[in-house]
Amino acid sequence: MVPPHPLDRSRAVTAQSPSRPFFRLRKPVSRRQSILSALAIWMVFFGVWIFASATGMVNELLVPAPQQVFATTIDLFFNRGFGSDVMISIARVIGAFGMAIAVAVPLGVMMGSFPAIEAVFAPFVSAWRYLPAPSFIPILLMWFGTGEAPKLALLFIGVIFFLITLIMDHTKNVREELVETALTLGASRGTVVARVIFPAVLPDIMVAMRQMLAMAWTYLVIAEIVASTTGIGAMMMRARRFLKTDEILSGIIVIGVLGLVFDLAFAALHRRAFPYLQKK
Amino acid sequence: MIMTQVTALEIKNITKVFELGGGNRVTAVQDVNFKVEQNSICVLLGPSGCGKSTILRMMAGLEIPTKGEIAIGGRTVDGPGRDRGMVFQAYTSFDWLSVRKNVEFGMKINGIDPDERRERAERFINLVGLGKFADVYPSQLSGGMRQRVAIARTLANDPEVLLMDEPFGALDAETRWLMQELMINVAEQTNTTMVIVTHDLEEAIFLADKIVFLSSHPGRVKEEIVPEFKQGQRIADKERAVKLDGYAELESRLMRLMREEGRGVE
Repeated sequence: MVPPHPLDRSRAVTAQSPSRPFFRLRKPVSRRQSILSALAIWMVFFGVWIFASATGMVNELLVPAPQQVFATTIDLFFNRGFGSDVMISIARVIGAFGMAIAVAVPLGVMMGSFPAIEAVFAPFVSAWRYLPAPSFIPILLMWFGTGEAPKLALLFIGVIFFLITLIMDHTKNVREELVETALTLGASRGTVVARVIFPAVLPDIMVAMRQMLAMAWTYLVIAEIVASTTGIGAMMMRARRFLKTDEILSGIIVIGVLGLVFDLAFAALHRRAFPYLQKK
Repeated sequence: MIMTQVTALEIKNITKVFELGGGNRVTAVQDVNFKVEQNSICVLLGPSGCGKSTILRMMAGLEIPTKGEIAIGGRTVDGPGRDRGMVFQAYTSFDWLSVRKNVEFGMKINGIDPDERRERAERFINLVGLGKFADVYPSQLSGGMRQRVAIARTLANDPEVLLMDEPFGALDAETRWLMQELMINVAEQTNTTMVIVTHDLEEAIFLADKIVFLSSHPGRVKEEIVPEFKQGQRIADKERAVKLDGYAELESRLMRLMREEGRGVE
């Protein structure tokens, strides 16, 4: 072996750290760069906000400074019982969503497994999907008054038909070979559904639930803004009457944070529940 | 190898017509007759479109013949059952279960008690050479290993016949040889009757005690061929099998048959 020429070595060094263009087509960025980029866009956002409110470019009454919104949020939680509004909202989402899941999961799986069941329910379910849930608000208020029932009903109607359809479609995508394998191992139809189709589709059901939970939050806020005296949406509507823009913005931020927390929790649950989906 | 002449599976005058919709029908298989002897390896060979997979699926009870019947141990097949285990070309491992639980699956749903289940699972996991991987998930395994899981799962369920539909078609050449040698071993050690569908000549010659060659459009039995050069023995070493007198002749004979059929299609 001839020792490498010094010139070769210098070339080897440059080969390891070549000067790459900042914008590379479809090449992933490093973790550091992605974190910095994410921070940068938010710093720009808050920078513009702070600058605009500090220099009086915008009406302070309509656009309070971010630090004021932050202080208001703290104040709402610690001195004015905003926590209980938040808990009520969370309870509504979980309650209505839980009922929707209890109906949609068994029905969707059965519809995806047995075309005879699909033939009955699919024409019904798909028609309801085209009716926007908020259009039911007036009638729900007449039927259920102003208690918890109309809010839960709106959330339920808002998500259940999409949930059923998504779960049915995912169930149909369970590979035929898995079903046939189970049949040739001596499984009955019920066993195939319970022991093969359901566990096979479960990760996809969780994904569908995660998507629909975001929608449930949307309907919750609509329900609370339209007709409620409790919950995050109701707090925001009260604040509007007293021109408390900082409180409205607090509400928006809290809803956003809650949505994010639920989404991350679902993602974490998905990783925990389905370890076999992790790549080697 | 014990070559008894007891019939395990009898295919009697089978015809299968598929309705394609719009009033179109296609006859996939026509008037097919043959027998599979107990403890033998029967290979269904033929060009694509000869209906060999359809015949296998009818044996499994996953398709119902339009005419004729299939009998296993004298009983007519009228649907899938644990007496006819099937291994598919596509991977069928249950991804949410460990290798061990996969192999135990059939026994579990058939109510075999846990002790016996564990013992049999252990035995068949070792038989297919997955002893070290009993507690990993199938997604962590290579394609060949996943097919081993499927084979162990089917055998552990104690079927009378093992049906395999191009089981090694998705594997690379080297893995395929290993799997073919494994099947010879499994057949010798478990005395399982096997029906294997393939379009791979080498695989057919190496594995078969009897080759049923099918012509295409519609599928008919063209010839039943016993690889005489093996002299009633199974050869577990592929390299040795290829060098035996008579191997080359059989291969070129099958090639000729394939080519004749191929021409018919063009």
